[in-house]
Amino acid sequence: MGEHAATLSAAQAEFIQGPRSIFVASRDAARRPSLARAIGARVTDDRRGILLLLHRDQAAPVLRDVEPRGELAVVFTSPPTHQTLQLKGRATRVALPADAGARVRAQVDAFTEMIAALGFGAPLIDAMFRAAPDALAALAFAPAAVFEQTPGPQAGQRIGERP
Amino acid sequence: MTLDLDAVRDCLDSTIPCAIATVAADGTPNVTYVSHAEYVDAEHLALSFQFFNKTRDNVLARREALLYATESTTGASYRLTLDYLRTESEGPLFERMKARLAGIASFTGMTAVFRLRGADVYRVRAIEPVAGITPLPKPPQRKPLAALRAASCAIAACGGGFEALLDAALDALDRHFGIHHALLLMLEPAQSRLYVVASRGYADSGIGSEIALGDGIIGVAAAQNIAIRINYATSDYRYVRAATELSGLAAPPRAEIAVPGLPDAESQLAVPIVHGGEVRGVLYAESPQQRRFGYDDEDALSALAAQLGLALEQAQAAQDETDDPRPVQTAAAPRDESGTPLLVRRYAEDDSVFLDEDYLIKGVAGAILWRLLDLRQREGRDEFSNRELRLDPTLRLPDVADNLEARLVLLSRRLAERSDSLRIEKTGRGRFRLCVSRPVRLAEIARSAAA
Repeated sequence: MGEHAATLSAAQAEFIQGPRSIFVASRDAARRPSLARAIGARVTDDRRGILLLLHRDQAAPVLRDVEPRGELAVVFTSPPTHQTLQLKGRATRVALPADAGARVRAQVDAFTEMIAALGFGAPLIDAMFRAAPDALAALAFAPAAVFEQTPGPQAGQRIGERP
Repeated sequence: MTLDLDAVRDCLDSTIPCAIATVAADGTPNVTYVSHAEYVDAEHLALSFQFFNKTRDNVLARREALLYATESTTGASYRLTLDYLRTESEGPLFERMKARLAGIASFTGMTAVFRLRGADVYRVRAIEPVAGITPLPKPPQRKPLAALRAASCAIAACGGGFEALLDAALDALDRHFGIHHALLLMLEPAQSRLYVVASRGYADSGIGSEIALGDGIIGVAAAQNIAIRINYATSDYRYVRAATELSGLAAPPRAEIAVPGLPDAESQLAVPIVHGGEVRGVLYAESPQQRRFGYDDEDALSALAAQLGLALEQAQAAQDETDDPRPVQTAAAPRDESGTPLLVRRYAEDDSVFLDEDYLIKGVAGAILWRLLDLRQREGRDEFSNRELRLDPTLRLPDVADNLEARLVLLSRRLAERSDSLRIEKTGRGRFRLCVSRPVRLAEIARSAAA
């Protein structure tokens, strides 16, 4: 994988910031994987970085593994359409932005509204995602590669690179 | 307490898709979603392998994966550390997953995309609840174990023989499990077909209708000897009738009974009825509700089917225990029937029997009716025994394990549904009477020479 930072397209940035199901994965020194949900994502203005918000306890193994090595894979999916993107790159733990609590509320509300059409109620989404501001953690993530992951034969193809 | 997979298997119903993390040989992590995770036993699960991708490369290279699974009613989530063992691309587990995946694909609009290449089997090394989630309380649920107890007691209490057992089983499903649409089918091994002997909840009983071994959820459950459960409607496992391809002069016209089924079935559960290691039939339930049947229902119905298999076998054996193969006719069969003769035609091609213009039954049940009417005409009697049928050279029944009783039930029920003039009446253990209220004319249609 190239270590150069990738610049997301406007469409990718919009997709990433929508109401998505998000998972993050890292690994430990013995190359064992770690895995957690993320709650929200905000793309930086230059589209070269993503601020990820996570539940600190839920994501503890990933936060632990990111600390020394920074390797992170993130997958975003839209449950109604199955459109899925996987990004790989490097992440570092950063201080929570001042508006983290409000951002998480807005993300969870948007996700709840979208997922209601699939038959999932707000209490379930709250149990899985809702977190008080002091229970949150933030990762600054610089994607180096973007992969199409929507189910199908094209899944896994790297986007924006010639073979 | 260490968690085993039994404790968290409700997470594996693919309502909320699982995520899987793997690591490449160079240490790069990878994360994606899994279309379907299938419970195998308390220590193993299988993941659907559909596409060649990075996850697959990583699993084959490092044989380790981490799965994140969420229970869809409570939000309780678990991380499962998995060791890859093998990929199965045929056989019971594969077929079971293929059926499950067809339902999921149909529900999620992925029918054209999802194709199961294999069932990747993993050993579950560790299960860890995800911290920081307060699961919702479990909604009040049906208790399949309590229902199983009641149903099991009902079957144990049934002393009425083979036919009564069939009814007791379907009654129990209705009363104790709230399963209102169900079929009981028996296997005809010689023809590799299953035929419906009892049903509940349909406008037409469908008794006598047939399903080929390997066809649809019922046929696959029987062929593979495995329970199959589908949570969402899928056309892949429906019983769509293909046009009958029989042709030729002696071909029987429209010798088909439609298999009963809900047009809007979402959930389907087919459980093999096994005795002595052999599949004897299938118990099938369906519902218009999505995800109506869970793992616990599958367990309960599998246990019930095992008991039913044993009970049916014993009921069958009891019917054969008559002392005299040729029952003594106390009096000549009454011949007071009058009116227009009933034309009974038998096509030698497949032993299908027609009453006037209406198809009645085929196969062994058809041959039995034909033989009974023939004996009645020749010997002037109307009482018969199971045992003489079993010994009858024209029927060529095997000595044992031939489902004779099931065929008699099938014949008796078809007659009750389709004929006013012919009826089978039990007269004792292993004995019965063929009641005929009209003159009968027999016509045999020989096998097609062109065939």
